[in-house]
Amino acid sequence: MKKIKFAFPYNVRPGARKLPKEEKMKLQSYPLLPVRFYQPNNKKIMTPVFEGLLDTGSDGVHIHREIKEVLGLSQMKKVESEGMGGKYQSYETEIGLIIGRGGREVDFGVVKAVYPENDLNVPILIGRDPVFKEYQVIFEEYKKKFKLIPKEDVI
Amino acid sequence: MEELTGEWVILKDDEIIERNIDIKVILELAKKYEDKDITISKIPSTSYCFY
Repeated sequence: MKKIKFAFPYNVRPGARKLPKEEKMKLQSYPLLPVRFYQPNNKKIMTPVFEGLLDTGSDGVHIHREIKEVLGLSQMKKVESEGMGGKYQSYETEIGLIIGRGGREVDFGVVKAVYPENDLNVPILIGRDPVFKEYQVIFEEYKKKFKLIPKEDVI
Repeated sequence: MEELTGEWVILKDDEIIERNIDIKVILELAKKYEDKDITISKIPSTSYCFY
């Protein structure tokens, strides 16, 4: 995997992005990472870019059942997961993960992901495994920016 | 200003061009824009989110 450094601004919710800067400053903003997913056995089967929430509180990549269906992913072990709303049934799967966009991308290859049995009202969550294992992640909340620095580049 | 609808959306240049509460519908609609630089995102449904 050839890693590159990334720096992204936080973003306000969709629908509010064309507001004047002063208005946007009053709104909640989020560290949203551009990601794409692909079929492990056929990289041509790929999703459009998703905005995934970069989430230190999540153990790994959390997707939705519909993404599993669209990409034809395997359903692996049934597992119990837990979020703020309590425990829920979910499944492990394997999925191709690319972060970045527009030619500045890093392909993580095939990674483990979890999707809930029943739909949950949550965005795509990009948790610690694998992104935080490979990158130093710096949240500059006061600047509304976040950076991903390859761990090999960190002294 | 947009409400906190919890909808999934397709964005092009940060403008919402499609919206639906069901991600399955959004993934289907996204096929129309295969050759376009689009992004799928989700509008939060509440002011504060704690996942």
